[in-house]
Amino acid sequence: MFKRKNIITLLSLLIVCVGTNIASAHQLKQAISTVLFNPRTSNIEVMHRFEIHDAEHAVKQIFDGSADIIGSQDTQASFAQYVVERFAMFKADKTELSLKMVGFERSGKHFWVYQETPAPDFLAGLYIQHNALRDIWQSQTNTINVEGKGDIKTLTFSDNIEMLEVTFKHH
Amino acid sequence: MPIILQLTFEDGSTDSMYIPAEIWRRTPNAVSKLIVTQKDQVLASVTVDPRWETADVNIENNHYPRRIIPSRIEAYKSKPRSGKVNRDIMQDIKTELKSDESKDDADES
Repeated sequence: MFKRKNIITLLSLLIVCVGTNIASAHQLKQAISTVLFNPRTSNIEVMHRFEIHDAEHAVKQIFDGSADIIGSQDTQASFAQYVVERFAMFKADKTELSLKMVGFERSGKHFWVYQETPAPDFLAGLYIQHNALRDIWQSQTNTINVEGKGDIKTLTFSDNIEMLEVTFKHH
Repeated sequence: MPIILQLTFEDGSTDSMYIPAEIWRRTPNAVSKLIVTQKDQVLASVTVDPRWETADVNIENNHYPRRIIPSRIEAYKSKPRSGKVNRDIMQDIKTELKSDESKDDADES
């Protein structure tokens, strides 16, 4: 009898575990950003794309339980501010490029944050830091594509990576 | 992948063409195709994959004559689209009415 009870407890525990796994499966905990050198405007344009489901849970952790990324303009603005505070680009001599916030928008199942800065005349490379959401979730992975300067270069921020570097070839 | 072409003629009429993927069989890097039209139909512009149905990584070279594709930030800064194309019905449900009365109620009273 005692044994059977044990098995039932074990089974119900298993079901609970599986259940929570399913519940959290919708969050991707992944974000993708594009750093685009735009020749038409000669700006460096930074576009961050977050999954709305990630952002929904994130704002409740970062701010408070009533934060609402879908309906509330204030939450969207403060989340965008949170993102830009955790993203930085440095020139090869480690001086920071000051990025201007352009805006943010919710589009379908994604939340976008836009930043830009005039592109310097000469740029040998960039050091990039992207810590958004990585301070609350250990498994958060941020990917950056650097486009418009030769081949597309991809940087992936995961685990304990703090800063990554891209170099550009000048012909 | 198949090549989907949209041909626009000088008189404003359009025609779409679906070229099956087998066209790539012998020359996988580049293919050419001769398009023959009626004598009175003069080709004005061509668009490859106008509805983004194929997995194309570069959409900037899909138009002839060449067209500038704005980046996401450029599009964000430009004027928002008017009209109700792409409206989000789920969000519309939450829109508050200006007055509680519906049209039918007003007619009755």
